Amino acid sequence: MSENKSNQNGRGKAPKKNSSKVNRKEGLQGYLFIAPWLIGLVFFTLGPLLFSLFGSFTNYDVTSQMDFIGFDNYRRMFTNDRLFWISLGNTLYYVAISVPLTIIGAIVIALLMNQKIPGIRFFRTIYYLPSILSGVGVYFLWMQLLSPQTGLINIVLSWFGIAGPAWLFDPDWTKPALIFMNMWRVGGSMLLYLASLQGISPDLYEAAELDGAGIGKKFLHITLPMISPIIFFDLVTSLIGSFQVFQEAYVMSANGEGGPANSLLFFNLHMWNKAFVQFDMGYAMAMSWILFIIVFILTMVNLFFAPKWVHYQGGEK
Amino acid sequence: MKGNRKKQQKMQRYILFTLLSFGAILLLSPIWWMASTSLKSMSEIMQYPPTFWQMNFTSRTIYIHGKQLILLAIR
Repeated sequence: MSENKSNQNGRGKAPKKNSSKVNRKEGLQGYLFIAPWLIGLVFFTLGPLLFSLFGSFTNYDVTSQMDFIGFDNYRRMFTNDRLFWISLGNTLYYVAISVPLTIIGAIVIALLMNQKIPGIRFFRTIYYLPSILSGVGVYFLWMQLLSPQTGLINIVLSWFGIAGPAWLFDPDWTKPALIFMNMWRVGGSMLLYLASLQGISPDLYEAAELDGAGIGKKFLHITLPMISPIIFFDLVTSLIGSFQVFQEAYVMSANGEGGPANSLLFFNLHMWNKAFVQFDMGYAMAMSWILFIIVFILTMVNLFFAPKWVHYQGGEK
Repeated sequence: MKGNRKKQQKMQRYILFTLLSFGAILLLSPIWWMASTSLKSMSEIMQYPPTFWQMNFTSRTIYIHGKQLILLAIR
């Protein structure tokens, strides 16, 4: 392709002499072809990104003012905003419980789905089914299910003589309720684990069996290392995703009020309230950069520890 | 020896099957709730205790919801 082009362009002249000119022309053409994406990146991603960095040092309120106030927003956040710490604590609580639970749940279900029993395709379909439902509809459905008196969950619990908690109306149970809801939708990552489990060669298990390895040893020394790249991927993406939890809390706490005793006031929800309810946009921009720094550091820590436990079959990297 | 092992495997499969069926019922119940609620009349949705199986899917509710859906789709 490129040879063809250089011949056309350098017609009549020696192609070698003009090669740098041709290269430049081809480079220009290349940039022209990716221009739609490049323009989108610069104007809709990079631009707003830099604008929010600048805005975090101002008292920007969308309409009237944008004065430079230095680190005031950050100082106010750490010293003079009780809700900031509450929202950060709520988010850490959610991440610390939800991420390990969903990873372990997905692996356990994937292991079950990898067994050879009759009707396994049927089960795979059913276990994946909740993840094809998405968005606000699911949250409204779960608000009904979690209703303290008439919800399905508490009714079923009452059949076994358990008095279910008030879920979304009890500050201690709001976050577990959200985590339950997300456990229900674990099918997406389950699918990834299942795909990687099916890629494990049976030779490995046969060899281990000859050496007298039991189920536990086989899982620990073959299955886990073989699916560790997927665990790592799931850990990184779900950690980032869980820090950004917003939709569930916004919908299930009456349009972002934060639920009972601010127990559903996650970091992003607090940021939303600051930005679009109180129009304290500069402060919200500062908050978003703090969240970025937290997630960035955690991801770096993740990447640092990865070589110690993630095993790649084709050598490192 | 070999027959015993086969029997054990069969037993394991039965246990797995019941376990998975139980989980499937658990996972499907919210979807069942959603689907059945979409076909109930407003008064039946509010009713306590809620109806699980003996629902009154009158042709009228199906007609009303169907009409709303079609109107939404057209708009």
